[in-house]
Amino acid sequence: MVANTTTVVLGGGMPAVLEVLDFALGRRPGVAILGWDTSVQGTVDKVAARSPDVALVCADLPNWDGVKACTDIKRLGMPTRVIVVGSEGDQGTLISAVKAGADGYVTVADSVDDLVGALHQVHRGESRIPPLMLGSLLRGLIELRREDDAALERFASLGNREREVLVELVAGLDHHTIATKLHLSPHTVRTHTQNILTKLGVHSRLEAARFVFEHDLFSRFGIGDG
Amino acid sequence: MHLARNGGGPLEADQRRILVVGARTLYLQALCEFLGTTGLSVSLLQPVQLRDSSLDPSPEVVLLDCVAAGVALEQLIAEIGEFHKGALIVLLTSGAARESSKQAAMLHVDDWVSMSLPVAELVEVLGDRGRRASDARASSSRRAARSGPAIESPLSSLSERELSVLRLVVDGHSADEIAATLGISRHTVRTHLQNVMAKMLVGSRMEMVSVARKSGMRPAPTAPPS
Repeated sequence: MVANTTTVVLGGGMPAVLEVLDFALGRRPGVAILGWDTSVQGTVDKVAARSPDVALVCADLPNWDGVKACTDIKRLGMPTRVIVVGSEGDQGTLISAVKAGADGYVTVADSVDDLVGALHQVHRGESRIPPLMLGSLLRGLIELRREDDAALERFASLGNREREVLVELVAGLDHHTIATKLHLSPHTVRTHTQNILTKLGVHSRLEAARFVFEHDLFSRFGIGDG
Repeated sequence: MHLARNGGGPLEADQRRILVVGARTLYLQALCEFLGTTGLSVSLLQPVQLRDSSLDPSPEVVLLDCVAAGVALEQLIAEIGEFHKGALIVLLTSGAARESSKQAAMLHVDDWVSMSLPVAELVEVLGDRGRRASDARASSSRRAARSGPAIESPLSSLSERELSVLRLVVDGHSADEIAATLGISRHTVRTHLQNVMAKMLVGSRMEMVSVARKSGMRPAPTAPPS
């Protein structure tokens, strides 16, 4: 492969889309397509096997989760950069893509040559976000960060005993089992539970569990592993 | 290229004009570039530009992307009917056969092709639609054929011998090579293939190969990988 060629693996839920992108990108100088796949796992496998400079995953097609593909590719720990293709103005997908580690975002309203530019750009190590979406992306990320800070604050307000009870609650144990395990009376466990729900600002044990997972609280505080 | 684009198809005989209308420039531009190599004359138009195209010579086929970004499909279809009388309207869908034909029927368009099919099939339908532009009946019978047994299991009605001939065609062998491999005459190969095409409800060898591959038939492992 010539040094200034960008090698690419494509992933997306629709054969025809990938076939024509393969054709259109492949005929442009400086781009070499190493393969494509219509399943998330297949795309990740092809990236692992062929180590392309860039993986291009479509996140706007049905039957296919482009953000998951991005996450899984990044998890391989390879230097492969990832570009996510999404709808124009789809801020939700853009934020998920950035959170999943995407290096670039290209909208379906862009041209093939825009995409080629983006491929080279992320290959060089730059990031690529459509300028018009940058403002809303930053606002979205700051908003997320703010929510996250609030969640951390709430979690930090729990007492030690309350945290222990929360771990068991999230594991799905009932009051009696928790009471036995922590050498408390069921009545005390119930009181702790009420206080936990109030402090976290949630209304049910299920919501409490979602809250914990959404903000990744246990692993960030080194709780509950094993 | 991983696409079966055999020469000698009916597409190369004359230039069919196809107008592609949609906002997903990235995919549609790639599609147009691809279609341009199959002997079709293709141009791409944003939905909002449709009005400006009224003075251009009318295309035989308008391929309308179902993701029209902000403009109602019904309105676009009405505009196409107004500005390009006589053009067949083919909906470019993203879904499976059942939903696609339902969507096409609801919008009263002439036919549909789905991006979830291999692109060879898409090309075949477009070429075919242009050829039979005046034969409105063909599209409904074709739709019926598509949602009929051809979708269920196009290969199930084939005999052992027909299957082995078909497999060799999918592998890219010529009729002479197949005759030599199976120890039968060229004429018999031809007859087998005619019967295969009739049973599979396909109109050309390219479509036959495309449908066979879609039904899970793969080239022998010696062929280059996709």
